[in-house]
Amino acid sequence: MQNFSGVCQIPRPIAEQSWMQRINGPWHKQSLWIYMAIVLAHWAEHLAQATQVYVLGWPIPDSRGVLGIWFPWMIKSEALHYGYALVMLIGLWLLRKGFVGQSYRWWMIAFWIQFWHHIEHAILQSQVLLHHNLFRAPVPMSLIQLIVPRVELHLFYNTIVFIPMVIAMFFHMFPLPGEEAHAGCSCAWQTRHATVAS
Amino acid sequence: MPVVHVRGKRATQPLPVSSENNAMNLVRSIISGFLFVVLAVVTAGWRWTMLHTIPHAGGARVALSLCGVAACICLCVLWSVRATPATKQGQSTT
Repeated sequence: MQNFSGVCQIPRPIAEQSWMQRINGPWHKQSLWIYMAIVLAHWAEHLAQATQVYVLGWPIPDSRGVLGIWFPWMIKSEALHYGYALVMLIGLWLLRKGFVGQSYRWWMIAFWIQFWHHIEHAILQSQVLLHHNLFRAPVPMSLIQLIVPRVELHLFYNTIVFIPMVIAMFFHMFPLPGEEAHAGCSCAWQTRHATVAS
Repeated sequence: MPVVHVRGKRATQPLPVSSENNAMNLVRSIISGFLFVVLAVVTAGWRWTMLHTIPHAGGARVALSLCGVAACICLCVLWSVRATPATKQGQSTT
C-alpha cells in the first residue's frame, strides 16, 4: 500500500529518474491519456459488437465489432482481444505507483479484476494456438462462458474493470481530503500546498 | 502568500472554488455520459435476450443486470463527492 501520511517527498530531477518513475511521475498524466485511449478503443469494439447484435440484429458470428469487420482474422485468432487484455493488465500494473490513497485502492481493484479477465482471454488464446477447443465446443470457450454467453460476459468484464479504473482516475484528479496528491505528477486538478511556504 | 502548486505548476494563488467544482462536474459528466451509453446497451441486451431463444439466457441477463448495477454504483460514487471546506480554501488537512 502506498504511503500518504502527509510527508511530502521532493521529486528527484527527471534526468535521474528511471523510466518507471517518469511514467508514474512527470509523465503520469500523458501515460494515463494514452492508456485511456487504448481502454476506450477496446470499449468501442464491445459496444459496437453489442449494437450489431442487439440493435441491428446481426448474427453473432458476423458481429465482430469495429476492426473485426475489416480484419476478421483478428477476431478468429483471438489476437485482438487478447492483445487488449494484456496491454490493459500491463498498463494497470505499470501505472499503479502514480496513485495514492482511495485512488490506489480502486486502481488495484481494477487490476485484480483485469487479471482474471486476462486469464479468461489466455484460455481462449491457447485454444486457438493449440487447435483444440475445451469442452468439445465448436468455438474456443472460457470457463465462465459455460454459464454466460460470450457477448454478455465480456461486456460484464469490461464494465467491472472500467468502473473501478475510472473512479480511481477521478479520485486521482480530485483527491479526497487528507490524501495528498502524488508529489511527482501533475494529474491533480485542485490546489495543493508545497512543502515550503513563504 | 503561501506557495501552491496548481496542476503541477508553481503559482501564488489557489484556484477559485468554482473552477475546481466546474472541472469536477465536467469530468464526472463525461464519465456519466459514457455510463449512460453502457446502460442503454445493457437495456437493449436485456430486451434482446427476452425476444430471442439463446443458450444460457439466464446467465446473460444476470451479467447484463450486474453491468447495470455496477454503472449505477459508479454514478452514485462520482456524484456523492463534494468539495470539502479544506479543499475549498486550498488547504491540505495533512
